[in-house]
Amino acid sequence: MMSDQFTDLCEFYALGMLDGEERVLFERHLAEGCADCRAGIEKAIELNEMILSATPRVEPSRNLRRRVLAGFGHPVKEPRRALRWTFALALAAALILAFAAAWNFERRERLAGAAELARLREIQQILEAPGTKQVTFGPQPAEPHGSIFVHEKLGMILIASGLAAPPAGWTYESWLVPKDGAPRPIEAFRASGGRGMSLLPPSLPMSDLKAVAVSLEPADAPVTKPTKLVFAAPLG
Amino acid sequence: MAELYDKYGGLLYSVILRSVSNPSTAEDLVQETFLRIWNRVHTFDVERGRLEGWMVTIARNRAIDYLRSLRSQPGESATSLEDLEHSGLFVTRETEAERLTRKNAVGAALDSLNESQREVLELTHFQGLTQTEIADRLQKPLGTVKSLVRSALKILRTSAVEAGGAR
Repeated sequence: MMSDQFTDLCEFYALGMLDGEERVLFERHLAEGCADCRAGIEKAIELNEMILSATPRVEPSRNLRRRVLAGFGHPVKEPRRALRWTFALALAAALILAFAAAWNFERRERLAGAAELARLREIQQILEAPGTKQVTFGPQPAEPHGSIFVHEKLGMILIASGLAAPPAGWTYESWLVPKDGAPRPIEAFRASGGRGMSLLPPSLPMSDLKAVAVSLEPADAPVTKPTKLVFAAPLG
Repeated sequence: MAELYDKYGGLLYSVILRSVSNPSTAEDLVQETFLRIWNRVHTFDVERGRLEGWMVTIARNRAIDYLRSLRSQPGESATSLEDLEHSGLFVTRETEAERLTRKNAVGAALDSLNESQREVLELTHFQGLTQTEIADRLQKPLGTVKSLVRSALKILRTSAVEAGGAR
């Protein structure tokens, strides 16, 4: 069991309140890889979280929400990484992130924060990966058109514009269309302002895929095959 | 990110405002906090991590960094707060319900602290003062300051342990 002295040091360190020689000595001790102190610091940090979380709530202005979300239209990137991007891809990524924020804002289904975080993280990884390629489809503005961001191992992001509002009781569904075999349903998604986005996992090797498709499906029925095909975007 | 903001934005704003006492500055720091979260989210283990804890710690640290910059002391004598928000420090094996129980117990225990204990916790958690700075601010011996912080944290830690079993 950790002595009271080290418990104190861990708790004071976790608050950032150690200073002077005491801080230097303790940080030197930590650098030696003391597992007990590391565990002590983790416990201290957790206690600090609970104290912070007990803060009485004060509501921010409504404008703050808009400000924060708007900021994700211009994500901060490390300069070195940004240099690896083509300008077009960087611009597209910024637009997608802004759209992702707006899209989530309008979702009726409330996802848990962690689930949304995981999804956004997947999107970010695909957009930032050096091997990501952009495939466009539907050159006619009056028809569904947009882009698919493709990464061999991480999956794809489908961004479609020109989508009509689905009839009541229907929803859009994304599909992976293999070169051989039946299309595979991926996920239902909403179209807002004519635009929709779907995250497609790397469930099949890219070399086995022919297209990404979107269909309209009855919202309450099981999805087995496309009911009303909206478009199919070739991948190669 | 909208969902994250809706779930945690009010808490982060409240913590930051308590530190900086200026709504406009607090809003700037909330925005900075969310950008930092976004830029580091790839390091966070969504399945095993304490998301709220990680976010509220980042928010607190942004406020403290700001206050330290105002004090013309960029924390040279204190621990770098970035070292204390590494996502690996926020792993848990608890369920959400268990964590909530302990959090509520700590919240209730805060009310049982005496005035001196509350005062030092305000300075440590929300003003980011080092122990020497607190002693100077309160005109109290360093040993007294340490003793106050120690006793306050012990009450809170005990309440958390009792609420969570023999953790």
